[in-house]
Amino acid sequence: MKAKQEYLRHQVHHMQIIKLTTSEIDYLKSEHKSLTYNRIKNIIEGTLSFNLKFSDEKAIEDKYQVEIELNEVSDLGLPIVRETDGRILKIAQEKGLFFGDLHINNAEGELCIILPPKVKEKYPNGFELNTLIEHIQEHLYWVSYFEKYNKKPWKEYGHGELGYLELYIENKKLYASDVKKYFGCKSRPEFRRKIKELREKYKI
Amino acid sequence: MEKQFIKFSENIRLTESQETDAKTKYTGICKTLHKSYYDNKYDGKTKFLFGSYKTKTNTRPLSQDQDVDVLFRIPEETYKKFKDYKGNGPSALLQEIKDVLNETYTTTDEIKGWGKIVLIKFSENKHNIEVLPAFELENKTFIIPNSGNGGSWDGFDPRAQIETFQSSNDKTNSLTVDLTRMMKTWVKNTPSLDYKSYELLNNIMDFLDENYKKGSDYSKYHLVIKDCFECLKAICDYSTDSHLTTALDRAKKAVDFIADNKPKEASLEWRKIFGNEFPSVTENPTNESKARVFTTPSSPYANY
Repeated sequence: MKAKQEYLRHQVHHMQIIKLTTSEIDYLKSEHKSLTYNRIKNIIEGTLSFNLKFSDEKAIEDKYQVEIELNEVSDLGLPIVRETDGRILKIAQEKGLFFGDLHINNAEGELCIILPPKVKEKYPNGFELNTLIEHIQEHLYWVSYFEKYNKKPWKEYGHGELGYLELYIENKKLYASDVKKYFGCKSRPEFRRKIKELREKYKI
Repeated sequence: MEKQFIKFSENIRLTESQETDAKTKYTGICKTLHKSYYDNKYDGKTKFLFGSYKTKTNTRPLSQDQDVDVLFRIPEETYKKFKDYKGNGPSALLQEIKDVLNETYTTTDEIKGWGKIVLIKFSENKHNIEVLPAFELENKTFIIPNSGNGGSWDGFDPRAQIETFQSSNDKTNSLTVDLTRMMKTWVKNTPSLDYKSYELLNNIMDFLDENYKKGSDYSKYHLVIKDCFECLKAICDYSTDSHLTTALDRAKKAVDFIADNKPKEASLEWRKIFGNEFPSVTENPTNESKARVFTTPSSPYANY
């Protein structure tokens, strides 16, 4: 487990800073009263509640303590989101899982809510607070659902390289360049060899 | 918790076969007595059912002490014969009743508030019958034998009790019978509590007359029960105070849980009061109607 933890890498580079607009702060006050914006720290923190239902699955009402670090924004434009109460770590522990299996990147509870090449699809106009909050809620619904029913409400991506392989298989045209870049392949033959090798490794 | 209260009400109500079993037993006994005291064919008119089997306030599961109270109308000459008896006439009448029944049944004496009655025990100890011989007066009240203290003949008016009950039950749209069964279930589930059935019934009728004159529907039964415990606590004596305090506290908690949409926790409180006949709720509902439905989520990923 420790070796795995040490192996954890958060690949995004924290470069940008997000400053909330007045309308975003108003949105937060009216729609998510238990979340507060700390102007000095430039952090959104507090309780994120949700009452969600995915497709025909069961609805879940739940809440998590979260922190959205607007000073640490990836080059893809998304801030770091943490679950600060250690609940997901605890769920993983209780179910005998490595915490990465519940999509947190480190023991600080940093959530891995999306595969980087998917960010552009989810946020076509760049960072939008309401889209991010709904996205986090849906991610936490996934965790709560798994906690409650011991099954995943929808498919996750595999960890690390497997996730990228799955993404490539999902839509070769759309994601080929992102996947190629991820594997650091300089030529098409090298990329083809890499994909072949991974498909054999993961038998997909 | 409307559904749970409907189910609870069903769970504690006697089944049709249990009612039939009781009826078969008391009819058989009255038929046997009728045959000995009358020449005509038995048509049920010499039998008068009273108590909880008449008011249908008896509860399930059946316990050994849930007896059927039935009164057998004796002919005038029998009454006169024992009234003019030189010794303890009431005792002699009861003995004669026992002798008649002993040919077919196992009988024993049982002391009641109105003196001795004859108890007919059945093998499985369910629906034992308490039979009380009585002479009916023109005013529709009865004279019953009291064998205690040398013997006396007492007046007895079960019709008045039944009419009071039925009037309350009609006015409250059957809440009286429902609430009485539920409260009796609480008494049953509280072994150290001694709360006489007739006293409980009278208190419930008074409570309903003051607070729920027109009854209530199942969706508000939780409030009715809480209010009832509050009322009983206000009038109770020292011996029942602690039991009522406990029950009231639990009922208040359950009401609060219901308000918070936590029927699971509420059902646990009701089960502490009423026992396992109250249905348990295993899961709290989510507010599905208010849930935001989403269909195209992002798939979680982990980067290691």
